[in-house]
Order: sequence, then C-alpha cells, then structure tokens
Amino acid sequence: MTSDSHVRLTLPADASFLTVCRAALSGILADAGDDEVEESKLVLSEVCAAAVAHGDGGDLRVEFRPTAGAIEIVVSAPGAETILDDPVAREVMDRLTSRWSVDRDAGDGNGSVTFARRLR
Amino acid sequence: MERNTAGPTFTQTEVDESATIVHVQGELDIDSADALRDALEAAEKSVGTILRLDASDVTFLDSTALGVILASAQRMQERGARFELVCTSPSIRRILDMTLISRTVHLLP
Repeated sequence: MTSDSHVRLTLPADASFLTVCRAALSGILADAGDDEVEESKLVLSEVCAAAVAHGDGGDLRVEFRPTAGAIEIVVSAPGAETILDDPVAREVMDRLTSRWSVDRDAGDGNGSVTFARRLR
Repeated sequence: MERNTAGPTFTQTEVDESATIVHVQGELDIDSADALRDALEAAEKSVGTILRLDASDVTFLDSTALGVILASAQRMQERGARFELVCTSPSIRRILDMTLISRTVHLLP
C-alpha cells in the first residue's frame, strides 16, 4: 500500500467530535472483524480524548496509515503533550497496541501519539 | 465548537423499594461522561440496596466512562449497597475484564 492510502482528518479538538474519529476508523477497517474494529476504536478514542484534554483548543489531527496486516495511527494537537496519564488508558494502550509512543515535534512543539495495531 | 449530536439516553426504573435500574443506550465516552455521572447520581438518591446499570445497549465504552461507573459503585459500596453492571457486548466485556472493575462492580450476566 502506498502513502496514497493514508487518510488524514482535521477536526476541532472537542470531545464531541470523537465519535467522528471512531466512525472514520470503522470505515477504514471495514474489512476487519468486529472485535478488531471495537478494540481499535477504543485505543483511538483514548488517545484522542487525551489530546483534547491536554491541547490548547486548536485542531485535532488524526492520520490513519493502513498497511498490509496492520494500521498505524498518529494523533496530534497543538499545545498537547498528549500524555496518557490515566492508568486505565495506559493499560488499554499496553494491551491493545503492538507499539505506542508519545513524541514532541521539535519545530512546533506539538505533542503527538503514534500507535500501531496488527490486524488479525 | 461543539457538535450538536444526540448523546446517550438514560431511563431510570424503580423495580421495587430495593432496586433501581438505569438503562443506557448509545456511546459512553469522555463527551457523555457528565451525563452518565448525572444519571447515576440521580439514581443513587432513590436507590435502596441495588443499583443496576443496564449497559446492554451501549455500543462503546471508554476509560472515562469506566471511571464514572467505578466512582458510583464505590459510593454504593460505602453505603453497603450493591452496584450491578449488565453488559452483553463481548468486546466491551473484554475491556471490563482488563480492568479490576469486577472487584467493586458485580458484572452480569
């Protein structure tokens, strides 16, 4: 798959838009099983909720990078360190992703969370 | 900016003097956490010995909603009452099992 298959969403950093993020992911994972979709939606929702909570109210950006047998998602928001400080949220990340990391852009200082899941 | 979307709906039913059921339908996430907290706190006022949250029509549950449920369950436990959570979705059940919520919340079925 090429970068052409990447999907980028830019939405207001408001919790009421998380349902849109989840709906987008459901569409992208249309060929995956129900469990796969539900677990992926939970992970995405936890990360986006943290980004919204820690951000400065600017746009929330979500990039979906599907590859063969996996999906990588990057979530970023201005001003957000997007630190996943909730213990349950961290447990979700540890258990339901194959890898995840919190990064900070050296240029604009925006925080981001990148995570990946293998698709069964 | 906020989206004007329909959040979850809550229906409270008094079964008898001892039990109160709150049935919730829809998605429970950080956006609907306040509504969930309000519904549970309202039910706690009238509840006798059992507060049952019927989440069999919940299609999504995140850690914030889980925290709200746990807080209500702990308040019930302090009163010597029982908090029951009905969850029939296998994917949500797996998420609940990942946490230690079953120490405080009685999971049904």
